[in-house]
Amino acid sequence: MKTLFVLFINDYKRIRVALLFLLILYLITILFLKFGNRQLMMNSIPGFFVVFMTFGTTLAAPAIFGLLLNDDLKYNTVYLLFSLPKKRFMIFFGKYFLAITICLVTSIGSSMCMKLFQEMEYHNDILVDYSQLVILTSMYVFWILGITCFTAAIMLSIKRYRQVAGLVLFVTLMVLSYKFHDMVEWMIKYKIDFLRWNIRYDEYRVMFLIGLFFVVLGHYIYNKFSEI
Amino acid sequence: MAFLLDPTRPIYLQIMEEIKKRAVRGLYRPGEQLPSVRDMAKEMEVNPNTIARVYRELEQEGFIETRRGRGSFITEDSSRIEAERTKFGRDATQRFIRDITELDMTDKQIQDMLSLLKRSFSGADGKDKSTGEGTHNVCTGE
Amino acid sequence: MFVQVNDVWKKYPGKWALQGVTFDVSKGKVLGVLGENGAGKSTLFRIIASVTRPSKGNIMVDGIPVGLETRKIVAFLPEINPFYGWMKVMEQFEFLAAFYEGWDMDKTRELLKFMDLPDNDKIGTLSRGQQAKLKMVFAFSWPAKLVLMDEPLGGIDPPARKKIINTFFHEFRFGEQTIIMSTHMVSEVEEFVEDVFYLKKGKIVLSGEADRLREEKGTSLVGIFEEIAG
Repeated sequence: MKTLFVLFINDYKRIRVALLFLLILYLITILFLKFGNRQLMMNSIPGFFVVFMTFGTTLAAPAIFGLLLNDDLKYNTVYLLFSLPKKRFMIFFGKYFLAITICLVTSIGSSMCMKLFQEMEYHNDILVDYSQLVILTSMYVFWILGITCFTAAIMLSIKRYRQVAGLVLFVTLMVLSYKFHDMVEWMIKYKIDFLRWNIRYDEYRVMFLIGLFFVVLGHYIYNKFSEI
Repeated sequence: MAFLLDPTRPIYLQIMEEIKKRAVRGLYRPGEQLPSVRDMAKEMEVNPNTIARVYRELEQEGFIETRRGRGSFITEDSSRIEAERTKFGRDATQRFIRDITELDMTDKQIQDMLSLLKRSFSGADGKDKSTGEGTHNVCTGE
Repeated sequence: MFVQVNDVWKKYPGKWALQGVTFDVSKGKVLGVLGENGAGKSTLFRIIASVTRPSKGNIMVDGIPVGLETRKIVAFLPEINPFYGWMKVMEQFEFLAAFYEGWDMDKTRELLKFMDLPDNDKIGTLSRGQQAKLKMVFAFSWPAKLVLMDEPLGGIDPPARKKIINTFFHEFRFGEQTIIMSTHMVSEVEEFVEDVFYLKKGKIVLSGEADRLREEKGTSLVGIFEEIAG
């Protein structure tokens, strides 16, 4: 286990460039996109919702960094990993353990930041709605993608339960699409500006399709796995 | 000298022959210890299991003797080696006769050829080039 | 029987890679799996190495159904370089050593030296021949009971090949280790394999002891193979 941990620390060290790049991109977006609408009433978002949203990021990161950017598949090191005399579960746990740890820290950190931003916005009445931006980005980019990829990762690691995992994924997506409907409705209610995102009330279906796309992607990756 | 295998014939038989030939030529003396299976495998560039089989077969034939924990030894019985020499000689002669009879030569022609070849062989012992030329001359002379 | 493969089938989407493969290997043997590219050799190796599961059939190694337990005694050398390109040679072996019982680090160093491999270079910067040599270091640094070599000599220049072959003769634990090697270039393994079988489109079309086949057919394995392939 210790060696696996060391391996994966090194593994993640290698993709720190990608991490950094994403972080910078994220910051630039936040800096340049300004949401001028001051009647957003973001503060009415309950705390647990913020945590829930950021948890999407948490789930997304191991999938993105662990699965998609990971080059085990590309460079055939899976053969090495899979022929090791350790349980597959242990190997995958080891592989993603660090990712999950990183994300938990990030998640808690970003939740705290969001709360802080909310406080700032509330007290200072500033122009840039950081929290809204964070939430929107999380929502559009990470949430669906994250959960889908994470489920896909589970599907890949535990082949035997892939049908169950598929079902869970499907149900998750259904619930998500429903939740999205709710959420969009809620945002309309509070007149959140969707102009920049160019998304209308019923376009949550697009999100659903995006989710489906990732299901297909997950299956593609799974098939690639099953061939080795 | 490099030992070349003929992949069209069973390898273990070829190695058995090679070891016997070496004993006949005196490279391995009666009672001399043979290289270990592993060393022999490396020398012949074949699987050690094949060498193990060769040693087993040779032992069954009584050509070598395996002493537990000490290795394999060529038989002390020099008549056994002599018998192999005769056998190889017989085989070589048979091959020669088979080939030569196909050419429909008279006994006299064969005798002449033999003495001529023998002279050039013994005269140029160790000088490969002149031997080659000598043989060549004989052929064109015909 | 040390390795028992019993009626193994493997299906990939839309294609059967293996169709009822059955064979046995007794302990200490060197078995050659011959066949053209795409005949199912690599799939078979992955299944024996317990990297992937068969669609049907069962495989036993040392009396144990393949899985976690057999991975402890099987060294799997896939055709491609399976090592981490970003790791240094020695780092990779230290990593692997932690997983295998009885790994001998001195042996690793000795083998690296014998093969002229730099132990402080990143694996990704090594040549193909050097990466192939690394696989041999992996196979013989620990007492693996079964070594699976998938195309061990594929695409390697002659000097590296010579080194690999020498290592094989030097390190093969005669009587203890069982080796299964595959190739599509039969001439490469002609002298090493004791038993062979030919795989064609996922089926065994001919099998037997190499020397017996030579005797029966009066030709080399290469010749027999060409006849079957043609």
